[in-house]
Amino acid sequence: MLENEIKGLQHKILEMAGLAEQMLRQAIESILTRDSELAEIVVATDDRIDLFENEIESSCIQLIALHQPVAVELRFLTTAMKVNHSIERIADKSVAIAKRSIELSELPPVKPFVDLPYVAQVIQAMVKDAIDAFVNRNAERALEIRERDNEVDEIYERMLHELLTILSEHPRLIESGISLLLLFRHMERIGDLAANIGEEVYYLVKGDVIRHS
Amino acid sequence: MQIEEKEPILSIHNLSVWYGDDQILNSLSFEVQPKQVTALIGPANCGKSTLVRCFNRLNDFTPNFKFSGEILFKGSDMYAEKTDVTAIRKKIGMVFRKPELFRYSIYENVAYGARISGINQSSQLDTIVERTLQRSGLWNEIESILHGNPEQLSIGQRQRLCIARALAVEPEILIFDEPCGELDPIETVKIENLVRDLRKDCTLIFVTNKRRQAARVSDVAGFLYCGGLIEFGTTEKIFTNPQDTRTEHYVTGRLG
Repeated sequence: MLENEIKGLQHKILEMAGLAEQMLRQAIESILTRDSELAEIVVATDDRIDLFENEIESSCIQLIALHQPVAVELRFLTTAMKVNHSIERIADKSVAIAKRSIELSELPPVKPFVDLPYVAQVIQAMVKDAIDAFVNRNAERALEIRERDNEVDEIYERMLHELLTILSEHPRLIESGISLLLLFRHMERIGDLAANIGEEVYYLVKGDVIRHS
Repeated sequence: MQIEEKEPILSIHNLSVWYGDDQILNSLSFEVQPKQVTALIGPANCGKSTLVRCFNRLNDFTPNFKFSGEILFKGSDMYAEKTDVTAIRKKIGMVFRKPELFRYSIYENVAYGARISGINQSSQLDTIVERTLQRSGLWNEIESILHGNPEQLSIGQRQRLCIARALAVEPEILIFDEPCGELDPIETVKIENLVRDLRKDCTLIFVTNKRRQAARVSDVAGFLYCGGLIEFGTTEKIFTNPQDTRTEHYVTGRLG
């Protein structure tokens, strides 16, 4: 029965998402505590995510080929493929954050982290809610994520500005500054990816495409 | 795709049908747009055949047939007293599940309709037969045995000959009532391709209880269940995002 196969697939996606969330949490913690060992763990976990991604994608293709699904089952499988990809990207970005974290732990700090813990908290909540919305087929919650992404974008712009001011005054901090800039950029992208998942979930539940609207 | 808002070729308003005391159809309303394939889907005994048999008044012969509501063919009431039933059946052809042919040659099966419409000149009949067999994709396969017995044809070829026979009188609407019910997958694909081709100059109504077939051939689909029209919309909508739970269950194979 396709219904049971879909349940199994959803469980697998949930497992993968759990792992990606853990990687994101550890990557952020490694920056705040300047813990490069924890960051190395994040980098090493990426292989497991890649295996999940391949396995989930093959299952989706196989179920489409064998069952030729329609209606909600078709929407689930196409959504699952996209959500799968977005989770893999979130894990990738977490690895990128971890790598910056290793770099930053060896450089002098640019400034105390003020916005970073807050943004980290917001994007982690967005990722968690996006996955919850997927599991519970909750279109309203999926929509909210998009709105929170706007807040992340605003903070990112502000941090960028602030960083530019500091760096123009203290050129010796340029190396740490660039690393930090890239780190912010990765975090902002994670917000976008969570919002993308939200849009896919909205399509899954309502059948309407809200992407780019 | 969207349902194009042209003048409908068929308008069905509150159609209910009874055989004796058994109500078969319950207050159906929908419109069939010209030059599209409209599929009617639903499980066995949901009223699909009864519905399409109303469209060329075949139910007139069924004992205890009663109906209420109205069916307009290009705006005129098909069941009005002054309606010329033979003219209606000429404009609205039908192809059934079993390919039943006349006991004449292949040629005469196709020429039959033209003959009874008064065409007797053999050159004219030859043209009609060739053109119609070309349209139904059969010409190249049977050109050399045109005057032979249709019994020698495969069942799929016989079905396409039935389609040719129906096309020979240039119908405006052609109704297919489970035309692939008896056919193997290869012949089924030929019929499906033919249906897609024919909609260039004909309106097609396609009854099937094969969900995937409806998805492949039609532009618009209606889902019938227990004599009611549950949902009617573009085929894309019905198969990607149906609005009624019963339609959802039917298209995903959990109902019917």
